[in-house]
Amino acid sequence: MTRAMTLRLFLSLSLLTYAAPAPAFQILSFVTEPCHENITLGLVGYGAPEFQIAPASTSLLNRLVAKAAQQGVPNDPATFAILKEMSARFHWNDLDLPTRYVLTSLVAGVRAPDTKGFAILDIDHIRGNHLDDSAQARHMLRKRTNDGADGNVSAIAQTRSEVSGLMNSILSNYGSPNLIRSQSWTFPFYGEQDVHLLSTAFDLGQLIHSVEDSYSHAIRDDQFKILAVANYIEAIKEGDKDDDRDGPPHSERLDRCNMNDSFDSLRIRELHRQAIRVFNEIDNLLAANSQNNATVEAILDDIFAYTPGCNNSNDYCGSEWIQKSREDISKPYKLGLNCGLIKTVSASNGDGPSAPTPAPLMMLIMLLSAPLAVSYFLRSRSRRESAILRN
Amino acid sequence: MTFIYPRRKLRILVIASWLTLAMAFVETGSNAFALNKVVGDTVATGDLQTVDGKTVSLKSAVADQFTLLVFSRTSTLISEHDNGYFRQLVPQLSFLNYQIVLVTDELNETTQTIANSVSRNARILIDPKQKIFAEMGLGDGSGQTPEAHALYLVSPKGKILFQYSSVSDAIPLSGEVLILAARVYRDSYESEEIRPGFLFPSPDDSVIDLLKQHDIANSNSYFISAYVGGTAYEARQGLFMPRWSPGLEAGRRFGRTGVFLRAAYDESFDFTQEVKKLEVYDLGVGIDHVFLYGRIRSSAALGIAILGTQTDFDERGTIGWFAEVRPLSYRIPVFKTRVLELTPLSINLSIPVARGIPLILFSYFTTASLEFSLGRNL
Repeated sequence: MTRAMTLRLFLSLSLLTYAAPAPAFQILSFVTEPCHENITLGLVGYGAPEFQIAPASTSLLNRLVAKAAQQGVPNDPATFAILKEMSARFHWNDLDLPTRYVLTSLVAGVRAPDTKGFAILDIDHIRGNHLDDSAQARHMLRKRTNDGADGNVSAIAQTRSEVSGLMNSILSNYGSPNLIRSQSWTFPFYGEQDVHLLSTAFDLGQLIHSVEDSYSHAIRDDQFKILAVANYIEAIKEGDKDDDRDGPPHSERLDRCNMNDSFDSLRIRELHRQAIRVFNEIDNLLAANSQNNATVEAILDDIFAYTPGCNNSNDYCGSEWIQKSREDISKPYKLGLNCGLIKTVSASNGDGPSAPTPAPLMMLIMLLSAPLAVSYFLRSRSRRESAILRN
Repeated sequence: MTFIYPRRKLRILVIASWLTLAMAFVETGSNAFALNKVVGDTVATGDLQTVDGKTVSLKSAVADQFTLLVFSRTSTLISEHDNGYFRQLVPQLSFLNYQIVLVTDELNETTQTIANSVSRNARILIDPKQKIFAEMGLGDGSGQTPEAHALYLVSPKGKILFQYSSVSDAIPLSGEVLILAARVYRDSYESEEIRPGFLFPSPDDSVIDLLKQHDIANSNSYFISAYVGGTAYEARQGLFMPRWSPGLEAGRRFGRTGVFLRAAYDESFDFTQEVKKLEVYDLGVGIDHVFLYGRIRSSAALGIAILGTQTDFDERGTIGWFAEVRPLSYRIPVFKTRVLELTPLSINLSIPVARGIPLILFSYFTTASLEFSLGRNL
């Protein structure tokens, strides 16, 4: 079976089970591009060619590689398996083991806010994560209570708090004799396993995820100042969505990273420029063994700068970002051939996450379809027999 | 890593199994409808004598209940060979709620002893002039040699549903068929009208279908089977993970129970990130049991599972084990020696890597197979 046939098979079956992709810059899956991965690897000089934007923060990478070599790469089967998996995927087989280990930890970290280590199709867990109100901040998205113009300020503050927390963790732990951390990772066929990653690189990945999402989940102006923060958790809710109150809905379009598109190329280059500043400043602090993060906070001030006064009523001051955003707005998602059999949006009551459960659905479909098919066959056969006897 | 059997899914499996059984009964019923196309006469009118000397009409004796009507001369009643071994059939028909009415030409001690040994509920009626015998086509009024013995299945309305004669060459069927016919007539009688005008029905396709199944189910024969199973759901991880498995089985049945060898290809598709494919080859042995007129088969297989794909953890060629249980498979006869078999739900566990970080594939399969019987008593 070719890959194309496999994909077609899946796409037909996925009508029954699959919901929308993750609410962030896309991560690698069978239907989405590795945006987060490539943007992040581009920061340290190992992204796909179109994401190799100069300069790269090679100093930070070298520092972490040296640290990994000093600590030693864990030799348990699961950790070696993830190194093998990542190396094959991103063509790192020629790199030395510590470099592959750091890059693997970085990529695992940048994926973690979206997947928490689960498989993309583990919809129970993935949707539970995405519909968790408290998890919106790490994706630079509004919580349910972040309404109106004040909601922009609150959402930005929440995300900055997440980033600052991770930065403080990186700086304070760096001197620790053991920087190896156990993390969950889902392997094809083997399922969820514990892998041991370099915590500094992993946290850097998580940190930069939030920074990257601020360029896909915010409406910005020509100077890249934030005009409004997007809303996912209520955008996928059927019914009383109100853009004035809830902010601009999350956009699948802004999650893409087509470097051949001038809009995407421009914002990702700006993102790269700012992220490199963050990486380089963190590198300086690690070199100095300093926890004074004021310089990084100053950079974050630039990244998260907010210009008030632009909202739905004035069409966000005519920002190109809102026009692009509207090309593919996230919509309430459903399971079951769009027949309304199961509407999975369950974030409407504000009582926390409630994810769809495709497992019982699949079981039900399988159980119902097989006997129905058989009974249909039998009825046809019985009719044929009766017809023969009548004749 | 823990492996917990899901109780909720077990319940679903049980329900599916009952659905399979129900389908088998429905299909048996559809054959019964076809059987009712067999035509029949009404039982003869005329009066007979009870052992107490009272007069009773045959029609009233068989009214309101399914009846096995036995006509037998006293001289043949004592001979199992001459009377078609009918005493072996009577308990089975009593079990199917048929009453037994024995009409003979003479009442004596032997007659009564045999009748009582057959069933306490057997009614003995005497036709000393053999009038009823004649009306039923058994008499010698035409000058021909009368038949010595015959059995009839009679409906509650007095319609003859089926005739079975030990000395007739017209229907070379066994007593087993009589029991089968008794059941299907009883089950479907209310739905169909019996058309008059027959004595010996020609063999019905539906009966033959059932006999063929039974034949396959019971024969001491070799068989081969090609099947393909599949699922879209991996139950251990709770993930959408399409999996399919074509395979071959070859074995032999000893009566209703058989043993077989299995060789299968097992392919799974994972969508954790990219689309990944995993191949496993199964070699194993199994045991099966066929029952309910051959309509249902239960089977289990166990053997080695050979990893056919290099993974991030394990080398190609790693050997583990597999087990599959098909609790209830529904079997449909196709032509003379073939059976189409559908298994709505089976439990398939494949562990091609059992050591270290195990590779466990646990799915509920839906399977279709085609079985070829290679003949009897090979």
